[in-house]
Amino acid sequence: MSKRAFRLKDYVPVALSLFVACALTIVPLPMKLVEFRPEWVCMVVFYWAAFHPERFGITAAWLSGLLLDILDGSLLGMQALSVSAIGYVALRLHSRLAMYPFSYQSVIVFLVVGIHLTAGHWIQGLFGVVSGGYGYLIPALSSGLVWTFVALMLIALQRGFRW
Amino acid sequence: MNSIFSQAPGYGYRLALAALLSVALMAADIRFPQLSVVRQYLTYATTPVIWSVNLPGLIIDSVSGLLTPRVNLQRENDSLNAQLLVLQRKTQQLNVLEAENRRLRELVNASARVDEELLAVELIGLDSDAFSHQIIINKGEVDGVKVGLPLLDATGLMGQIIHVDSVTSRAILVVDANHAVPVQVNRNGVRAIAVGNGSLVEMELMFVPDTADIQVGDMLVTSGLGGKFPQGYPVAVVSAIEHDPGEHFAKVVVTPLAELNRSRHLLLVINATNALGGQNE
Repeated sequence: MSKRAFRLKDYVPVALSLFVACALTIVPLPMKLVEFRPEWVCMVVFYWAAFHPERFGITAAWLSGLLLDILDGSLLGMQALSVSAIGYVALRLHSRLAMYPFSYQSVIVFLVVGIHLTAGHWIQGLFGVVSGGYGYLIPALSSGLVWTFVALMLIALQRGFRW
Repeated sequence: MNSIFSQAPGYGYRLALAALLSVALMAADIRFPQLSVVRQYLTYATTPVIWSVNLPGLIIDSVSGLLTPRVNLQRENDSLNAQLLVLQRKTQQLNVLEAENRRLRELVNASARVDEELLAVELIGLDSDAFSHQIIINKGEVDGVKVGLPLLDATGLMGQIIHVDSVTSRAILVVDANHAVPVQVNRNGVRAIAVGNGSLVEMELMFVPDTADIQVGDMLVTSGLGGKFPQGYPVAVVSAIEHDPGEHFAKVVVTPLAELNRSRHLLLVINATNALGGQNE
């Protein structure tokens, strides 16, 4: 049976992980650490889209991005656009990513989060003043660094729900 | 296909659709201010997240209140009492001064200054973006918060409200690179515009002539011009002045007086009056 019936229970881990990612996105940090905050929501979207495309598609990625927009108070649709692009990349790499070691996956996460940040930076730059330099890319680096940990946590979460 | 999440072929089409929808949303968000109502409803989705992030702080606050030794409380009480005495002494003459001020204003036919109504608010969130300085406060539309209201802390001007949701609102701080506030030097009334430069601890004055009488240590207060901020709230202190012969204007660096990275309890000016005595919109 390739098609499953829709069960709400199936989406509990997704919702739970997104909730935690959102909370981590806005939790107050010391000033020195703020700019190193990884893009948690992007990583969670990447994980579910890459490893469970039957449960998490472009629509879900778009909605997650919209959630991020509301949370950050950014232009509505700005992060929705780039997060759905992350979802797209993950979906296309779906069959390959599972064979890659974590280190290789980290590099891809670094790249897609970097694209996400760059897109946001450009769009913000169109309508206001943004910081100069490449400091805005630091979260991409930290996201790549913590990816292994995030992936392991999400695997554990999913095992906990016996997917 | 019985769910929006189920796998379907043609990711490309879906991405194109999502991109189209995003661009339309962005354009609408910029063009139509009415969309802020939609955003306000959407915020209901994120309120539990904000609330849960805030919960540990609330628990720690209340628990530490319960567990604080009596000695500490007494000490705190003593220091607060001492502070109260000092402040009371300062306000003793306030009534007289106010009356005198009113008489003098009547003499020069200036409109009377209305007492400002303040709303105590609490900071519940910081912006996650390291490069924009915005905060989230725990009062929203139901409490009468409106876009544009000035935000203060105990020591100076913090910023102003830019988004109002039902139970929370978002404020931009004076140091944000997208924010400017009209100020005047308290000593002699020289007017200028203080603009954030992205750093949390300094701002700059724009278009100050090299000959302007501004000195290091001068206090800048809101001038009330522009009608956004009420007159006379301290904003910053001049910390450095640089005269470059090659530039048209002097470079004046000022330090904000509000404790932008520390204050948790803030005040919102509800019926702000500007320099001309007019009511804010």
